[in-house]
Amino acid sequence: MADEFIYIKHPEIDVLGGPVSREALSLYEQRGWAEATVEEVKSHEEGKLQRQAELDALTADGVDAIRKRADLDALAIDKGIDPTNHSNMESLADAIKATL
Amino acid sequence: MAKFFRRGVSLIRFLPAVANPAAPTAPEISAGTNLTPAVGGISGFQLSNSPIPVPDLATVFTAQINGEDTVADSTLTLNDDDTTTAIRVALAKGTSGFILLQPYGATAAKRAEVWPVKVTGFNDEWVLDNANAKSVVGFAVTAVPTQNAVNP
Repeated sequence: MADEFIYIKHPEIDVLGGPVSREALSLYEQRGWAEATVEEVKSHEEGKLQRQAELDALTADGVDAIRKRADLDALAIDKGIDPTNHSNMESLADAIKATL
Repeated sequence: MAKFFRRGVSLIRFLPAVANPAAPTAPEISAGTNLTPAVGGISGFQLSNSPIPVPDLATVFTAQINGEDTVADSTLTLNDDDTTTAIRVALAKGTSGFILLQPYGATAAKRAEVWPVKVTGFNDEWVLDNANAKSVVGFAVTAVPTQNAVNP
C-alpha cells in the first residue's frame, strides 16, 4: 500500500511541517503536533503563492528600474554628463533637464 | 579552540518543519527525531561548486569563475533496530523535512547546518559480514542548505 502523506502543524509554530507519512502522525502527536486542517494547508499554499507574486513583482520593478536607469544614462552621455556622478535617477534627470 | 572527537559530540536530527533555516527554534528541534544514536555512517551533505575555466588569449593561465553549486548524493547509514520503527516511520520514502547537523552538539549559539531534504529511499543493507544490520536512507537536497545556522 502506498504511503499517504499529510502536513502537520504545531499550535505555537506558524509553519507547516512535512509532508510526512500518515503513519508518522502518532509520532508527532506525542510531541504536540497535529494533522494540519485543509484550511491551514490552503492558507499556507496561498501564502506561498502570495510571497512568490510579491517577489515576482519586486523583480519586475527592479528590472524596470534598471532599464529606466540605462535609458537615462544613455541620454546623459549624449548630453555630455557623466552618469556615474549621480547616485539616483532624480538627480541625473535634473542634471539632464538643466542642459535642455 | 580545541580539537575534538566527533563521536559523542556532534548531533544529527530530522525535523519536520523549520520556519527560518538560519535559526531553528527549540520547539522545532524538539519536534524532530534524534537520529544520532542510530547513525553509523554519513555520506554527502557537502555543498560544492564546479568552477568554469575561462581561458583568454592574453595569458597562458586559465582563470576560473564560479560555476554551479551542487550536492553529492547524500545518505545516512543507520544501525537497524528490530524493536522500534520510529526512525523508519519518520523517514518514510517521500517525506520532506530538514536534516539538522549540529557539529558542536546542542550548545546554544553554536553553529549548525540545516539541509532541506526529501527522503528518496529507506533500504536495508544486506551483507553477510560479521557486522550489525544497517539501513541506508537516501536524501534529495531540495534547496540551498544553510550552513551557518545557529542553535537556539
